[in-house]
Amino acid sequence: MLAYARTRVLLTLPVLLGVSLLTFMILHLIPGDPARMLLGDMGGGSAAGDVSDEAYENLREELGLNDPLPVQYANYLTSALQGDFGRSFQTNRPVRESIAEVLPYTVQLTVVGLGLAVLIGGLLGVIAALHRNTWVDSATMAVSLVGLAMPSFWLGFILIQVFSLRLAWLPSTGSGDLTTLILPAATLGLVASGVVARLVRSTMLEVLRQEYVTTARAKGLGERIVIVRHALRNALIPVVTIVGLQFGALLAGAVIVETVFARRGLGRLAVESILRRDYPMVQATILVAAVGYVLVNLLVDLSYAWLDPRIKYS
Amino acid sequence: MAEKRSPSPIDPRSGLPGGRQSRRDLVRRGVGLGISAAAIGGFGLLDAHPARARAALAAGQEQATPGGTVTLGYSSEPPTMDPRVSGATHAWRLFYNIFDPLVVYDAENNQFLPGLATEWTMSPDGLVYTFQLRDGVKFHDGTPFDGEAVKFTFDSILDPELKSLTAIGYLGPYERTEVIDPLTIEVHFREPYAPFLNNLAHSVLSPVSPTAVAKFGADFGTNPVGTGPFMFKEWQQQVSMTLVRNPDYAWPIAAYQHEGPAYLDEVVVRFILEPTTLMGTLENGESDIIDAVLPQEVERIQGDSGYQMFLPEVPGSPQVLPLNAANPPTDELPVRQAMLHSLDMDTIIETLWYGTRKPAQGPLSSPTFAYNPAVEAMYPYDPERAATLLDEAGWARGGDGIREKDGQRLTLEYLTFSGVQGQAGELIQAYLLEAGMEVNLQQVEYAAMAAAFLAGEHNIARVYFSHTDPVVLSTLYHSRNIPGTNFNRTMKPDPELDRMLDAATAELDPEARREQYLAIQQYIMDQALTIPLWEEVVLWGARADVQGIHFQPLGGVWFYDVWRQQG
Amino acid sequence: MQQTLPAPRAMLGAGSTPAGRGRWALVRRLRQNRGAVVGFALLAVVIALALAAPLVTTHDPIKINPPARNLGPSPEHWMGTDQFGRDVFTRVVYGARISLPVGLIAVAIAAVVGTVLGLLAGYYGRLVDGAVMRVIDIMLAFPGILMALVVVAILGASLQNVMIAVGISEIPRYTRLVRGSVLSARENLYVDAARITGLRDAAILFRHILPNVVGPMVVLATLSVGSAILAAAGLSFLGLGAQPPRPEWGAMLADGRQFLGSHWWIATMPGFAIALTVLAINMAGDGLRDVLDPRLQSR
Repeated sequence: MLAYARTRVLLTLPVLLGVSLLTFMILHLIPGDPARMLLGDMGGGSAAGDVSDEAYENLREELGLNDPLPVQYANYLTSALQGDFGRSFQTNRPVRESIAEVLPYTVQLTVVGLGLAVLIGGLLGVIAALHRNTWVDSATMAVSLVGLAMPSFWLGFILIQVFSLRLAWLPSTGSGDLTTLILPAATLGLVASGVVARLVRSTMLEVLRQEYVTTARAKGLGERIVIVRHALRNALIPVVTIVGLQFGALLAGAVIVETVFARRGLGRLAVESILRRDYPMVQATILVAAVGYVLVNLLVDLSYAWLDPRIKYS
Repeated sequence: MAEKRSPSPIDPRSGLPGGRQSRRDLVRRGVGLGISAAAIGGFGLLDAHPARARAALAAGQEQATPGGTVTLGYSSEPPTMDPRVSGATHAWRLFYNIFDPLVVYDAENNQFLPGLATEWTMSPDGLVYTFQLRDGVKFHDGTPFDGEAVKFTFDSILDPELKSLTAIGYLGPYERTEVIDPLTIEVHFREPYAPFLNNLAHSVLSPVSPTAVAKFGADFGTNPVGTGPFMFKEWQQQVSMTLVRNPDYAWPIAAYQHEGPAYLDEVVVRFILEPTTLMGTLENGESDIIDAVLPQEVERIQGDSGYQMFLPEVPGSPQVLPLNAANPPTDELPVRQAMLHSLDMDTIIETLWYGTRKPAQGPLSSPTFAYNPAVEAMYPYDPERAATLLDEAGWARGGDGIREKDGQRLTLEYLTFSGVQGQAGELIQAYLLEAGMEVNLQQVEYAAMAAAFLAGEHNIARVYFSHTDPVVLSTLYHSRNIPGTNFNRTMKPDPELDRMLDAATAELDPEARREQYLAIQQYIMDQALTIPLWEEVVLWGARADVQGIHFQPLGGVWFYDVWRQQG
Repeated sequence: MQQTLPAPRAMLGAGSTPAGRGRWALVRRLRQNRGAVVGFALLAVVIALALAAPLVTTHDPIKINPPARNLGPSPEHWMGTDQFGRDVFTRVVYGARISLPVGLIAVAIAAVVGTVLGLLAGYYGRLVDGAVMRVIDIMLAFPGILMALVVVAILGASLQNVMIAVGISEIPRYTRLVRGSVLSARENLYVDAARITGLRDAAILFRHILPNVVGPMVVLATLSVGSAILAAAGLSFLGLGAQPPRPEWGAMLADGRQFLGSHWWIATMPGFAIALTVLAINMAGDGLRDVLDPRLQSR
């Protein structure tokens, strides 16, 4: 088990290196010059004076954009390995600082969103499985699919309209206390709950057919005990897997949800810096997202091995 | 030797009381501009507005009560709060709260009023400005404000490491600053530069605390220290920025309406970039005031006594679509002229803005100094005229209705943003299609657009620059800005236009300068180098209890005079 | 990195595809599946409307008519008019002609590229497998929507590039699925038998291994048509979607969102169209999965 864990950890390193290289190459494929971006008149109403060519060239030089690409990448990598991700082109703030500030909010959002998804999806999935092929089954599954069928920004705006503007129960924006977390997390959770519900349903069905459940039933254990103690526990194993698989989807959702609810977060930071060609910030946000993905999946694999003793690793 | 130019009708040394009346006038004018924007729009939306705005103003002067917090829902987050660095108007509007400018611009009379400078003179050759600075002013960190601080600010802007985006341009042909005595400085230029005082009125050239810059270095942008009525307290990135009252503030600039410290304890600026969400926060009370009411909601907000609506105009270049005069088919004058005649701008702008903004007529917005009203009659919506122009130029209708010449279809590449710019594009595309011009409309993000503009692949570009001085025309139409910054997206060097622009920039006599800019606007429109879209307006919406709102020259709120009705 | 997992509760193995005469059985079983019936029926309606768009609509989906803007639903305009005076119902119907193909083509790109990579990795193993799976691992770790965003940023915003971008970001799923299936199929005797009889690699791949993957592939593809439509809408929201004046649903929704407070129908109608269509696709996909392979659980 330990050896397996070590191998898995070591295997993540080339992946992360690959992500950083891919990000770097992609960034330089995107048309658009960060220096020009800074000088630009974007933002729906900006102004600049009469900026000279020299000022522009000076800016490129200061940003390190005049070095050959391999030099730029080597520089980036060397600093990054020492924990220095440079300063943002846009804000001139240390990238590490900006990311450290926003990351907890995205973690909070995805964790609570995922929790809601497992809760809602799990419940719907169990209900559907226990009423297999009845109208209850169809209805619950249809409900679980509705969240999955809506663009998340659309769902978010609907929640704001209903709960924040019409009913005035919850704030629509902010990154502070728990109340500001509910609507964004619900948006994220509702989308993911459909996936969880379907998974739980099908594994429950499978588990319910297994011998040990039949045995438990034969022993005369109450149906509820059978379901909770035996069936549900085993049905949870694949749910753990989906945490890993869904993590990417949740992060994608966070990008949009954070924008809709004006919430602090990594996803928004990533999108905004891509659009602004803020190279150091893009590099770092994508790397952090990749580390997150890799870590979550590592944990999933390990917990999998722990949860299901039948699986052996060489 | 030095010719004294009277900066204002106020006697600067006598201090503020004498200036009170004219300050009030200045302010009233600012509000009036907002009204005229809508009134000219002519959709009857804003009839109730002037009375309410004046009432609010009057109330503000009579019964202002200190204390309280105002939450500002802001549609954009500044990249930095270092005024010397930032290039974004949204940031400038916030800077004024923390940093005081040296002078204040009175657009109505095209004259300058005291800020941190009390009086000033210019040498006859225009190369040396001498400023008297106000005594007893302190930065938020206790550093005394003096000539050294101004010199430090200007000189530091020139340091390449600072990466100044706008201020460096606003200094023009700046050479050096000499500190004559602690409160007297001379600013030297390499050549005459007429827009300098005007540039100085913008917050980007406001003095910064040299002590704080030394202390924070590259992080000054997140720890700004100025002399303004509010002090920077905290900035949670992506979320909010908190400004607190400067209790020692005793040097109101000429734009202000009262004396002593600001009324509000705190201004909390919340960054809400999604317009639909931002609108919602005004309605559910999460914001007390927002800077981007959705245009289709303006009428409703105005009709609701729970809210106030303000529409201050922004001078400078309106939103325009520069036409590439170096790339076919827009290299042909008749094609460009036909495009202008093909567009029913009244309908297009009303459709986009619901009467909140009016169509632009030329390369300058109407409230800008030296605006030329003669351009207004040049390109009326006239499809027949457009057809004649194209026919005579050899562009005949082809089988599918698109015009052709020598086997070439009349196809126009049009790059713009998504959002309202894209919607404007859709409307323009539809009108040009009627006229037999095929438009390939592409909505891209700014960075990709800038790259395409630089390559000159476009026929129709877009640009918008706010400024209180017509020198903005050099930024957008001088050939030196075709490469490099690429803000001149008409792409074709025109020595005659360059000469006119250079002369106007160096012309020190305001009246002569005005004449020159009138001719420049006429020339740009004769050449049909740009399609004027709309004059920019900031759509401020506030809850009814937020009082004393009046506006900076570029449409920001002076929060110094804002107060909160109790109860 | 997932390849070190011995595909627990596998991405299913060989032999799950009903063969030959089972085809009718498949249809019969589908018909017993309530969700599938509803899903396919809804989908049929959407497709029929898309095909018959000029017949069922009375207005022009593109031509603007400013004086008639923002009109509420009425007998003349069932779903009202949009901010430019265009009939929303007409645009929603024509939108199906864009949004459905966006989903289908994006998935086709992902499925074809992903399958080829998966076949290569699974069949040849060792170096090829290692190389392909490293690339897939990197792609997986690169957040999907950001991947799509940068691809559109590189290629330029257009409908075609949105399809490519969404397609690319979905490749890894297919590669992993196909590779897993190939790995288990390779163990099977008939592949050994085929090899002994001297069949070439390509023939073995296509004749013996690919058919075993078709079942789960169809399920995955069906389900991801829905998510591809949603991803395209998300790109529109971020400002990098289909170009105007095309009535793509996501773009209509994104452009109309500012009117939610004042003219709700402009965004709500295309929103319903997306939700209904994706719901139908997902129900149909779920039904297919139940029928084709009751054991395939995750998407």
